[in-house]
Amino acid sequence: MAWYIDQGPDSDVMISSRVRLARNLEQYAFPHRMDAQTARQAADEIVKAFFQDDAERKRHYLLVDLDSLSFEDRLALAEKRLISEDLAKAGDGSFHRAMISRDESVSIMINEEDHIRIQSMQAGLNLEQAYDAAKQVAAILERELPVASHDKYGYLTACPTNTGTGMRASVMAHLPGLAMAGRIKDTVDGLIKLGFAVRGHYGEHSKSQGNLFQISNQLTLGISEEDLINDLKRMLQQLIEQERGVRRELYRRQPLLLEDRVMRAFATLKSARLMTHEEATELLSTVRLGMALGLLPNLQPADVNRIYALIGPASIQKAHGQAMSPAERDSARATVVRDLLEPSGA
Amino acid sequence: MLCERCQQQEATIHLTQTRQGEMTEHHFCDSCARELGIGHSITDYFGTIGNLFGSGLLGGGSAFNHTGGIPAFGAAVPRNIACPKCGQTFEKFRHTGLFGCSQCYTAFADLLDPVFRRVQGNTRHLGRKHAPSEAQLQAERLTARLNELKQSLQLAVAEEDYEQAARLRDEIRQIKQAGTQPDEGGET
Ligand SMILES: [Zn+2]
Ligand SMILES: [Zn+2]
Repeated sequence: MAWYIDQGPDSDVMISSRVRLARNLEQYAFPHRMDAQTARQAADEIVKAFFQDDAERKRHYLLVDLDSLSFEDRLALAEKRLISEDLAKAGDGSFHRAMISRDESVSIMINEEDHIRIQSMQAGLNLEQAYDAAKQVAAILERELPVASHDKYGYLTACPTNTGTGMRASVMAHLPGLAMAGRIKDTVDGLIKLGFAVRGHYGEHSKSQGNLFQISNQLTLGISEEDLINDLKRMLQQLIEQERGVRRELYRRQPLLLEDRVMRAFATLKSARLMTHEEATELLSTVRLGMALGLLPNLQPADVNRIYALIGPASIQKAHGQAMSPAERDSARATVVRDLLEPSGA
Repeated sequence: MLCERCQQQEATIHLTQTRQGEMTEHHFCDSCARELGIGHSITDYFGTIGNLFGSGLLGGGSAFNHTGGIPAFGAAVPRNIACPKCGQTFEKFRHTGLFGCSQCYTAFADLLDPVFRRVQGNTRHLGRKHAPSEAQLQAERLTARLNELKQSLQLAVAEEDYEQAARLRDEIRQIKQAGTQPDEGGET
């Protein structure tokens, strides 16, 4: 199921897990050096190899021609994290495609930085299952296509930071406790020292909003996929314990202050008529914290995750179907948030 | 605890690593860790990806922003080696941080060990091998097929398409009987 609908393990701290595998076709230059003709050829071959004549797979996966989508529609896919931000922002006419599973757990991006980027997502901390699903798609493609690999270097990718396994395993972690306790900088520094990469929300370039952090492996060469996932997972389990400990301690010390913050955030989300994306993300962070502390018993992590996935600027615009001013978007966003929180009452 | 490498400074970085399934612990001081390239910092705090590899040179020019970059070399690097397939020169690779095609890896082979040692701390792949055995592929395909069918089955049930659901159930049963696929418990 989609990361924002399902509820996974450790979802009080871990919103989602993702594994991405990069693969390339031997016979073509990497996408940044391909002409349009070759890009189209590569895209066609990959699509054909994946679907073959498999009716079940055709039923299960949707082929999306990204060139034919509007900029906003592409961004909306990125906001649900079904394609990368880079792919969403790339220009038309580059033969970008995506094959997206109907349950939105797996997507295969074509002609991104590499010819093939397989991405698999799970709710909560569930890297193993995400990897299994990605590996299965890789196996299908590797059987049908001449995938570039090398005895010494493993899978060959456009960027040397992906060479080897071509794998990037990551989680979206929600760390409001460590943030409130002023320990985020130390935590992030520590993670980086251990060889992990940490980024703000939405992965690529934006700053951290709402205490959301994407944490991933840095290295892809000289370590097997399984070992890498184990290292990452063990570190994350420690991080989860730290975050939980800090939350409990904060609540123990100042229960009233924390309850007040949580309830105000919840009340604002349920009543505001105008809401920027930034404000919504901050308030949702506080509500999510309150939920984990048991202060909002009628709310589930998935309720909040679903809101995260639907309130990005492009998603709001897309749902509306026509061009909107920022103020109109803020109004529509406030409505979406109110509607989504309605059934849970509290 | 003292650093296991220099045995002089206090260890500040404690690593537990899994390699080939075996767990080992390591304790290094800051400076040794830096020399060994452990945690060579790639991401700045709060995600501003800056200059990734020390004095490296990540130029623009690539279609995508990427988390890459190639360390600067001494003056002795031959600048004009070009890949016979795509024509990209090593100099361009250094500049953009991107290979032009898979043949570039072979064309630049003599120059790549320092690149990968710096970027990856390693020069040899240890993970899943391409062209895995027929048996491995067969098993993976079977598992993939089963998962797809199970998901389709869920969808069919959700959409109350019982004819389709029955057909899918039959196919799942057949695959399970024919294959070596262990049943992970009935979640249908
Ligand atoms: Zn030392
Ligand atoms: Zn080349």
